[in-house]
Order: sequence, then C-alpha cells, then structure tokens
Amino acid sequence: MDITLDLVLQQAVTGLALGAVYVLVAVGLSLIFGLLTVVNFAHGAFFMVGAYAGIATHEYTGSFLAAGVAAVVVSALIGAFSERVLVRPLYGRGIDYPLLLTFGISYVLVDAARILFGRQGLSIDLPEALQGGIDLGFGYFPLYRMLLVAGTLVLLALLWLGIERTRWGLIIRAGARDPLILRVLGVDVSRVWLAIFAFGAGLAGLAGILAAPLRGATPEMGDGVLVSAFVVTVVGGMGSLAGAVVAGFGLGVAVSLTTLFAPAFSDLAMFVFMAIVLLVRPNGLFGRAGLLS
Amino acid sequence: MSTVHTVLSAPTAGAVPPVPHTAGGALVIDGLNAWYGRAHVVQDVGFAVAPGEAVALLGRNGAGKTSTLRAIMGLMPRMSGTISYAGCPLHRAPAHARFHRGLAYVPEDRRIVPGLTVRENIRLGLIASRERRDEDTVIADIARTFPRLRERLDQMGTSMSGGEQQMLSIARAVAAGPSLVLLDEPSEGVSPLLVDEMYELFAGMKAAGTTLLLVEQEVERALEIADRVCVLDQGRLVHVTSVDDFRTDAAAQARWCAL
Repeated sequence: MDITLDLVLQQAVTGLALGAVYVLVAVGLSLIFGLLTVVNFAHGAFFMVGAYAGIATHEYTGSFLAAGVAAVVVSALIGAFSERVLVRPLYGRGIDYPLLLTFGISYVLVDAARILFGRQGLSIDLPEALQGGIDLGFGYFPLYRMLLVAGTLVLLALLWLGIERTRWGLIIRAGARDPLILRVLGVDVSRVWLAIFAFGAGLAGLAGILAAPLRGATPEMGDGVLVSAFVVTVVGGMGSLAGAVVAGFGLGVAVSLTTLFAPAFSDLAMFVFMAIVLLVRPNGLFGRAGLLS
Repeated sequence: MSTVHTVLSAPTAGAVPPVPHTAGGALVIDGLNAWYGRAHVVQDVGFAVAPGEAVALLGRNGAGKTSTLRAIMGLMPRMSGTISYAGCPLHRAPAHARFHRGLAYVPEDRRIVPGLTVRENIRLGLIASRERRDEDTVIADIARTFPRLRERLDQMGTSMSGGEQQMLSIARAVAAGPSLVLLDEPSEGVSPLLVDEMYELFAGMKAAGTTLLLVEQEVERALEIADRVCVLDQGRLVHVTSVDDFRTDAAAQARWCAL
C-alpha cells in the first residue's frame, strides 16, 4: 500500500476524532481527581452508560440530539448517585478506598448493561445529514469526525471560559488547591464535589454516545477507553485540564498514525509514548510535583 | 453602605458608630473537648465572649489555642461540648454554615490560594455570601482599607510577602462583613511595621462593633486591644481575667505565657 499525504492527513483526522473522545473522558477523570482525589475507575462504565442510554433513546425517538441529551443526563445522574451515596462515606480514608469502590461500581454497571441489553452489543446510525464527507481542497474528510473534533474544541473553550471567568470556576480552582479555605468562606464543598462528579460522568456519557456511531456499543466498551484516558491524564499530568487536552489529542494522533505506518504496534504506541514522557517529565506534561504527597 | 470600609475604619469614619451587617450576639462555649486522633487537645473548656468584646486567648505553644479556634469554626475532626452564637447552637453545624452565621476565621497559616490573584482571593471571601453585595464596591473598599493590597490586586496572592499575605487573609475573611472574627496568630512572621497597621485595623473593627477572639503569642500586642484574657494551659482553661488585672499580674504572665 502506498502511503500518500492524503492518507496521512485522513488518518490524522481519524486520530484527532479518537483524541476528542479521549479528551472528553480524560477531562472528567482529571477534574474528579483534581478536586476529590478520587481515582475514578467507574469512568469507563459511565462512558458505556452514555452510549447505551443514547442508543436506547434513539430507538424510541429517532433523534440523535435526544440521544445526546439522554446520554449526558443518565450518566450524570448515575455519577451523582455514586458520589453522594457510595463514594462520599469514604472521603478521608486514603486514595485506595474510593479507587476500589469505583472499580466495583464499574463491574455492577457493566453487568447491568449485559442483563438489560445483551452481550453482543448495539449500533446506532448517524443521521443522513452527518454522513459522508467534505472536500477541503487537499483531501476528502469524513464529516462526522470533523464535527466531533470541532464540537469538542468548542466545548473545551466553553469549559475553559467557565473555569477562568465564572464564580463556579473560581470555586473549582480554589477547591482543587485548598478545600478547607472554601469551607471557612461559606462554600458547602460537598455540593461542589457532587456537581463535579456528576459533570465528569456526564462528559464521559457524552463521549460514549458520540463514539457509538463509529464503534458501536458493547458492555465492555469502557474498559479500553478507561485505560486510554488514564494514560492521557498521566501523560498530561494528574489533575491538569490543559494536560488532558494536549495529551488526549496527541495520543489520538499518535495511535492513529502508528496504525497507518506500523499496524502491529498500534496498541503499544500509547504506552511507549507514556513511558517516554514520564522518563523526561515524571509529573507529566503539565503536572505539579508532589500532588499525591 | 460600603460595609468593609466602614467596619474597618470606624474610628475616623464619623460620629455614628456603624454596626456589622450581621447582628452579633454572645459566643458561648461550654464543656468543649476536642481531639486529634488520640490526642485530647482541648479539655472541658468553657468561656463566653460578649457582643463587641475583644478576648485574647493566650498560652504557650501547644496549649490548645488554635484547636479551640478551629473547634469554634467547625474544623476539628472530633469534638464534644456546646458552642452557641447569638443564641443559635453551632456545634453540630458544618464550617460553611458557621460562616453564614457571621463567623470569620483567619487561619494561622493564612492559606492564600496558590494560582489565584489577590483580587480572586478577595473574591473568594464574597463568593458564598448571601448579601449579594456588589463585588467591585467591596474590592474598592478593601483596596482603600488595605492600601498595601491596592497595587497588587492583579498579582498572584502567594507572590507577596508574609505580612502582605496576612493582610490579604484578613481582607478575605472580613469581605463578607462578619460579626465575629477569629484571629489565629496574626502577627506571627510579620514585620513590626505591618503588625502596627494590622492592630489599627483590629481596633477599627472592634470600634465598629465586631466581636474579636484573638490568639496571639505576642502578649503585649494582644493586651492592646483585648478587653479580657483567657489563658489555656495543656488544653485546659486555667485563668480568665480582665486585661488590666492580667497586665499587672507578672506571676500569671510568667507562669502561663513565658516562652
């Protein structure tokens, strides 16, 4: 097979779309870790819940938009329930307790999906308007992947504005550094944590339904994404949003291009990339030293 | 009414003494015990602070002063006993609810939030306030009252000197107009000139009717503004007296407060 520039560019767009999914999952993972110090192993399951909730809604309504809303709402609600009822009693007990608990939540959700929807998985077709491709002059690119990348960038810009410019953003920035001072200044931090957990879960659910037209939905679809999202947060620096964004898109493209040039190594590419980054910068690209100490 | 400015600079502000926006009341502590793990750091402490009064909580390092303040603010991991303020029981309320009752806490370690500007740190002091006061007005008032912070509003809070950070910590704590301010070692690590400025502020706050509970290593400083003195020793309240009596009681000072 000849490797042309066209092919490389197309594969890069595919990589960016893959990266967009990683970023959406990793941003929530990173926010939850940054504020709650919870390593959320249920995050891949929230991704899967979003895909199934969206597909089920799509079957009834035929609307892709409704599917997106349902994906966000259902995964955010399950996330909120998990934090409020299950994770909260474990705060102050060290990082491994919530880690093991969320691992358990993930098993329950995956098995629930198997029971409700079967083992073989479901698929969802894109609406006609989103199918096909567009000619950018230097190549023909799949429309949906382009929209996925653009939409993610818009969402990230809004998130950045929200964090830098709003009252809630200030609470989030302060809460990540010093929750005690927030409490003393009248903020009920338990509500902030609940909102962040639900928001992160909702983002993962959104990523799930957005990825579903490309890869379908299976009960186990969250496992691989969770591993990738963890690699993204570690490479970017635990708790760093900017790091999650750069590392997410970077890893998506790296994996995608490895698939083109050396398909046998595509699964390995991500981990090689992580090893190199950690050798050079042990706290990740944007990580703070001693975050866990 | 530009509350912060009025509260803090009352002595020169005019004939009518302004009152804090939250109606104050007595702080009453009874049978207070607090623990860090197994260490029983506050043992059966009870005292009261009248509205508008300034009480100095004195004692050696490790006497339980900071733990007592933290217990009043709801920050101790384990405590028993009762705390009420203006007639409302506080001891079961979480820290954030105590803020809404009119309490403010200036922690010993200042806790200026890294990564936030001076302005953002002050904004944090207003963020949960239910008064919904105009932020620009309050920040302008604070800039007037704390001239040292005025030029630094847009620089990182943690880039300032220790004394300036202490000023910021106080400004942030009083931004929402509290009626009771708990101050933990405000003069520690601060240059004498800044300590003078700081104590002028406290005197202004007191004159405006704000109740103060002050933990201080520098006994002389504390006696400048306090009405009464409570002395803690090894977690217990051992002495309660007026400032005048304490000032002339060299034996008591040597026994409980000498380093």
